[in-house]
Amino acid sequence: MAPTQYNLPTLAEARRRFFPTVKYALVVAGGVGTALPFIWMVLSSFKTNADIGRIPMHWFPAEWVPQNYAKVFEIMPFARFYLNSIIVGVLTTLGALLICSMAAYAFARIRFFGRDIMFMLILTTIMIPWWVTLIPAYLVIRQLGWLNTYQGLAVPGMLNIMGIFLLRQFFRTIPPDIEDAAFVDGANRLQIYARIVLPMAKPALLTVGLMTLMGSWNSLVWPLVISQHESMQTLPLGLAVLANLAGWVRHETGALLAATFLSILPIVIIYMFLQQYFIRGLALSGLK
Amino acid sequence: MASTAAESGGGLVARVRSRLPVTNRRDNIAGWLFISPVLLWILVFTAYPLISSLYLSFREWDPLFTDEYVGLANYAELMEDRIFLTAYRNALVYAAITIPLGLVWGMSVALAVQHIRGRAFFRALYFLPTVTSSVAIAIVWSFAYQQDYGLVNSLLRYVNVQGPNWLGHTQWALLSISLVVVWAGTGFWMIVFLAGLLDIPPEYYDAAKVDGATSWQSLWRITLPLMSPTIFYYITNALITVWVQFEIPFVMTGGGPANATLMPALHLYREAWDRLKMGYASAMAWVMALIIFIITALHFGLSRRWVNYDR
Repeated sequence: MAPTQYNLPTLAEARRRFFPTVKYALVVAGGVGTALPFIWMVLSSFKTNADIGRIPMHWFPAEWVPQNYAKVFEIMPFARFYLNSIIVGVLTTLGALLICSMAAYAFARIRFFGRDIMFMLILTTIMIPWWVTLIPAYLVIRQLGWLNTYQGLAVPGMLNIMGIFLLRQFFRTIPPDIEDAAFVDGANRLQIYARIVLPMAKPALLTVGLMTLMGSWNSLVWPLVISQHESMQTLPLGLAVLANLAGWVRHETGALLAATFLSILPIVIIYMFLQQYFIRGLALSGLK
Repeated sequence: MASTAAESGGGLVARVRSRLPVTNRRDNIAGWLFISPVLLWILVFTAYPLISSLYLSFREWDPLFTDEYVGLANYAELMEDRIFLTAYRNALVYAAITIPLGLVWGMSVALAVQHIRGRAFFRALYFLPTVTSSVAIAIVWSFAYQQDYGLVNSLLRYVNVQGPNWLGHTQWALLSISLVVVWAGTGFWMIVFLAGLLDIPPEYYDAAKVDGATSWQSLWRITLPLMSPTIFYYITNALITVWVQFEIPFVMTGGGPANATLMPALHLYREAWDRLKMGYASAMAWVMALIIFIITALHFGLSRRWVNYDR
């Protein structure tokens, strides 16, 4: 028998074993690369500043010190930043859910004059780069006397075009028979929207709500132009300002890392429990 | 474009029906009332600012003292502004690094993770930077890039490489920032690519296998062509976002050293809020919009040659 006949299956066999190993190695390496900065952040937040700067780097604290977490509240109004972020996040999310779901309901269910054109127009506003509208939008807020206020931080963010689109898609999947039955019973549009459609759309509302909350919680640019007073700064803004004070960073690395960790914690925890809503929301907004 | 795709899903009858004039007065009123809050928001925070910023771009304007019509002087000044040109040159380099790298890496990870055990775990892990604020990411990575005790150089030391001062050196800073952006975006694009991969009918691969195709051939002849709409979406998005990157350079380098990481959006912010040249900054914003528009139009035009929409 010619040896080549044995060679072929062995090659195929090698390939069959080789490719999955390479795939696994790639995925694991990338996963480690994704996780390491987070792990380093958490471990270092329990180190003394001298320990963080030790050369060569050590992964684990020489001595676990929780003091950084106390210091966070001493060297900056961290509780205030947190409170501001929560207030702005909740206001933005609730407002967005209200106005977006109303518009989405009309676009999905009500046949009114100019509907399709308005829907197209609203969707095209997505394409406007927001740096173009940023300066006048800031001037509008300034004119309204809303600089350094919660409404100034929250109100513009309530407009979530992607949210309108996603909610409309979802409302269209609700069988119209249910609404028709309610109509026969004498309910009006507002009642049908509030009592029938919204309760049925909880998963879609949760998805859009989480996207809005995350966007608000993580946003930097808008708070940067709206909040000039330290007392009105949100978490990303407060941290960015502190991180930019280079001298401060050198001296209080541990506290800055502790603050950074605390700032991402709420969204990460929500994400761990409601992962599928995040992934669906973002993937849907990506795929249209 | 998104809405036409959605509309066409409704079938012929529904489509014809929705074109018919609506005569129900109650529905007209209800419909406009329901969309009125969103319209108000768009008027105040999108439409008016859009016009206003065009108006400002023809003026020398600051919120306190100056307001003067200058015609196209702001635009003319921009063309001579070396820092402005530097910012765009940086953005080009940044685009040339992040767009291909993000695509290849995101696609590789999506392909690799597709049929692996523990897929859900890895998907969740890779997605973590997407839910984390850019500021937090930038802070952690500024330390990771630190020359002596930073994570990156410490890992390089394990393999006996002496890493550079990543953020402090003009030669490395822009690359360093670009890599952070790719790192942060991988999870999101992996999810998008995975969704695209799921849409490919498995029969195609079976047929290819029967015909004796290797997995490498299947990748190039089946997977990538059928993924072209998703790749198109990735590039569309990337071509827009590269010009508006702000947070990462703002926190990590402040645009330095020596403007090596200055980006168009960061430059615009500085002119508008640090130097209060809001007319000038508005002209910058319109140039940015114009560049995005032209590039997007080119990209859409070229897409006919390589994006494959029939399955």
